[in-house]
Amino acid sequence: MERKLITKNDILLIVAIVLIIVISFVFKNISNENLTAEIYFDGKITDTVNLSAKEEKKIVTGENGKTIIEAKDGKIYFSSSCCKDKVCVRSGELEKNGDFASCLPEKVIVKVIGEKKEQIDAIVY
Amino acid sequence: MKTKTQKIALTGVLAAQALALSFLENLLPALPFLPPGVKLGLSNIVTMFCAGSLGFTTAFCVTVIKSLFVFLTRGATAFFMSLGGGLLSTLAMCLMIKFVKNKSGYVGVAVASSVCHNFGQLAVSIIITKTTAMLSYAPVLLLSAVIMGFITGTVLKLVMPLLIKQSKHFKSL
Repeated sequence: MERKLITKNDILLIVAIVLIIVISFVFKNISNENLTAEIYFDGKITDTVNLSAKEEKKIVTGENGKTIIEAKDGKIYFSSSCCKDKVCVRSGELEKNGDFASCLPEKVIVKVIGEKKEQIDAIVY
Repeated sequence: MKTKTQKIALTGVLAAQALALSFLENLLPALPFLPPGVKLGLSNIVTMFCAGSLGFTTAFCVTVIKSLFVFLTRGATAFFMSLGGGLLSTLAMCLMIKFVKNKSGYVGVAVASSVCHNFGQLAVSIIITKTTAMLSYAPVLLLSAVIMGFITGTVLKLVMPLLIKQSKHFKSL
């Protein structure tokens, strides 16, 4: 395989991908009001925690029932899990809209979302 | 007959190298500034060499062997993640080599394949967890794919002479 290290087309490809990244960050919902954390197990919401109210909660879930999620001071995090890779625990504390952590072996996802306000000024009949 | 045996032996050696590289990668401590789950993808170097110099079948063989090894050592979830990402990324590099040819360099092929690798894994994780919540991770994965693809493409260019020398050992038997 004889080819150059990098060509003009490669640079174009990289620029296009970076543009997509920038656009997706711009369109991300960045309101940090009324944050709620949703805890999914096996594709279904099993628990929610109101982060803005600084609700404290300890949730035990997961495929083997040993994944522990803790919420404290408006933050939520995986405090321990019986999975091998511990990607979930390393994800750290979630506190902003769109923050997200998952433990795939245990089928658990934690997602932080802001309040979905319907921006309707008036309804006219 | 002889050539077929040589090809099998070479594929075996390359698959072993891919495994060794991904093992080495796991030994590296997780860098604090890297988002969780993001890896270099060093074994992609071997797969790209296979796709470029030995044919697409060899590349797919190495990918599947690697995933089977992941199944033995890290279990079913990791296997499906590895297979989903691996097959899609190998497909991407084969398409790049076949259709874009020399208009694209090592970096281009590597970036395209690592982007597809991450999207393959994202798709598998959506299937496993049955939610689309993972999609919010896509921009981070895309960015890391570009950076890691740039690194692996450059490394491939550097080790290319060595890899060619290695495969010649098998042909001159």
